[in-house]
Amino acid sequence: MASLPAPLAAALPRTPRIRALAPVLAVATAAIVPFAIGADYLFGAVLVPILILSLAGLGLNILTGYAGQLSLGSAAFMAIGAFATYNIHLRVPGFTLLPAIVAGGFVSAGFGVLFGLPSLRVKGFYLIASTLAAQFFVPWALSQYGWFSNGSTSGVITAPPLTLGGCDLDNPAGRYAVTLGVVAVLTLLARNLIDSPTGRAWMAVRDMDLAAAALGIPLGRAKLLAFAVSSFLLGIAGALWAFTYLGTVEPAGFDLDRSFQILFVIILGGLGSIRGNFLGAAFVVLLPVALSMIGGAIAGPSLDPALLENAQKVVFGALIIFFLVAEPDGLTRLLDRALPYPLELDRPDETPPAGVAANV
Amino acid sequence: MSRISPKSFLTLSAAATLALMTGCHEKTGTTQQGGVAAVPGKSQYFPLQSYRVGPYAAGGSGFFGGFIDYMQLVNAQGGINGVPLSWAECETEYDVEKGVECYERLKKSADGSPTAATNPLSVGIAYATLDRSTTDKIPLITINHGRTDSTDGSVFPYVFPLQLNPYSEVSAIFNWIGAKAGGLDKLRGKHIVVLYHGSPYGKETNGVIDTLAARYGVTVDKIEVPHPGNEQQSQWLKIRQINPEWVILRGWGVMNPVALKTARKVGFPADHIIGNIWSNSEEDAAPAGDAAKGFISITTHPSGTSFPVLQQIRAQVIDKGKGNLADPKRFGTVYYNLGVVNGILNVEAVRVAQAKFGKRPLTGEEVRWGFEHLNIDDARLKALGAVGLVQPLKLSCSDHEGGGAVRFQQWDGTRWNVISDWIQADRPLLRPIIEASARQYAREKGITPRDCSKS
Repeated sequence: MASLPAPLAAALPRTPRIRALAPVLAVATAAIVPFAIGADYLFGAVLVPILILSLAGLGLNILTGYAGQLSLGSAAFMAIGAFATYNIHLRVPGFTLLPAIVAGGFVSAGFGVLFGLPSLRVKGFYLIASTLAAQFFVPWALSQYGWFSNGSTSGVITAPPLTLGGCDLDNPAGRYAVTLGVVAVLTLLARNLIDSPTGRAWMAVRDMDLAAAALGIPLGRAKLLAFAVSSFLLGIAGALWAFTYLGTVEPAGFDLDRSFQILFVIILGGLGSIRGNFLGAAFVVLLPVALSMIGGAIAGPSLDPALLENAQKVVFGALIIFFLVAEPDGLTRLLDRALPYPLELDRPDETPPAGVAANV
Repeated sequence: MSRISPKSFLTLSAAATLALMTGCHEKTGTTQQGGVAAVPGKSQYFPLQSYRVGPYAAGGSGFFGGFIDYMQLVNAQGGINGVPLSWAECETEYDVEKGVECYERLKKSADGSPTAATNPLSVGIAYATLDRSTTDKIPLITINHGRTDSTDGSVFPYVFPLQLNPYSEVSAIFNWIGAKAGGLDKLRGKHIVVLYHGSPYGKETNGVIDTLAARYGVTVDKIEVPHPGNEQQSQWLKIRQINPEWVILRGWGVMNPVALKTARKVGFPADHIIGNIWSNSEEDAAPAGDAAKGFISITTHPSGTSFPVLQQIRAQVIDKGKGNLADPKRFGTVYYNLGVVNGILNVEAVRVAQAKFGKRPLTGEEVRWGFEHLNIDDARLKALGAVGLVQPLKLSCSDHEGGGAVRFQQWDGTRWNVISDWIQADRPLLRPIIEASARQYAREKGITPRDCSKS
């Protein structure tokens, strides 16, 4: 489980300074380097989706990786966040976009608690089935009733212009800056929450709910709170997806495929890890792009493009299987072992995915 | 437990990075060029967000095949006034996120040639890249589809739903049904079912159908088929129960043949099903076999290989072994011909703009002016070898559609036969609805519409 034998790990104290500095460095890098390169493609098609999927992954990771509750309804909560943000911004006077996004997150959190209620009675596959119901119900309801999309003929909502305090941010770099700010703040908050007694309670519930109950942890409250926080983050990720990434959104954009994509992010990145979300999101966004660029370069115009596309899908699937076999604990653990010791960031004791499996 | 060592992981990632970098490097060299000798930076560049896999591959590969083959023809004939065309492709799978990624990846050419226009052939992608196109000043061409209110060019300067927007399509179908019944006033009391694809494209016309139904006194039931539409038993049982006069099939891809087969299963006659502009290809009818016999659909671009422009493509592109189609039998089919039509209109726009701005590669802004001043009359169509393939088209600042006419065709089991002349949509009736919708959009987005009387 741990990459070092326990006594050894205890004997070598971690270097807390690097641990504390690392996220600051990461944010600083993210805030400076892309602007130095300054390409629209980097902002609009690579970094923004990676950041948003990381946030969505963080949301699901809190529910699944930390609290041990399985869910296939992530995209539904993203949809709720996106549509709630749109409607609050449109209909409630005084709400500019940023407060509307936060409010959308709270609406999504409310629905998260509602759809989390079954978790009080059921676990594992049965809970998956009930979150799956949310996944089918929410996009259906959003496309069935025109009110949600303000009577738009095609059911697609269009993002309002992005401004912040009178400053026009409606360009790729501005959208990236807003996304980065929101994601960085929320990641920091989520990290502190996970390190707090609440987070400890979640992990106790994940590892063995009976034991957690015996310790005096209120199971129901811990589970519902995990659903609320998870849906809050997912809702905000959905709102960002709509308003800083695509600039438009339809309910069908938050289908089951999106839920699976977020599940891939956390499985590939590493369950019960914060850094893993970012690695996993980068992986699912970059790998198809890299494959298509390499494929195009190798084959050139001579090969049938359709064949080439299908071949890339096969390679993508094979690579995912390869990475999972090579490291079932995800990219974060892989990175840990690749880095020299003092840079090792995640404490191994936070990552027992066996506990998740035990709950299935 | 066997795990790969950190060292081998590093080696692996280094190899991957290297491969990626060579990939990017090679990419800059492989923008496809046709017959004219192209100097880097001196061609007119078209980014192609194509799709050749997934449930809509038939549409994508046919359309982009025709588009590319026409551009090859233009290059083989010396380019547009000596300016060669270049293009690069990126696979979207008809998926919005992929389409946005492709848009950003391809919007600037690798060799610095200016970008003429984007043609995503997907309503979802068009919606998502609408703002980006306007900001980047690259025309967004949505031939026969797209956002209806973008017809109003005063609010949507960079968007062009060429030839036929979704409202015109429906209006033309109503006009034809009316003519069949002996006049639009005879439609009162009739019953029509609209079976639509559960996507932005499919829903686009729901509002205007209600308006037209109320106007003509027709009862309309709208039934949705969830994407991609390979299961329609319950929808067709419901249609059988309603037993309407006509079914308007607003399908896309695999949904169409399944609809025809299921209609046969429940006993609804194919010659009372009218396919819309995206339910009108050989790929929609042929897979349904006998069940498709008699199926009627509308088209702006009849199939066939007899048009002079197609003969030129055959002689100068396909016979030289440069054709883009994987299956040469699809030459002259509906999707392929739409690609050719789209190529003609894009190239004509560049030609019109060149007459004003000079015979050189033009910026998107200049090509936009060209689209807005497209005026293709019968004489021009004859010169292009496209009489009967393309309808006469005249665009302006306020009208980004231009045509609004369709022909009806019927499937005889092996091919489409045209059964009507050009049927015009009731555009004056639709115009106020379009303007109202465009004005609402302008209000939501804080856009000040251009004054079209000045340009």
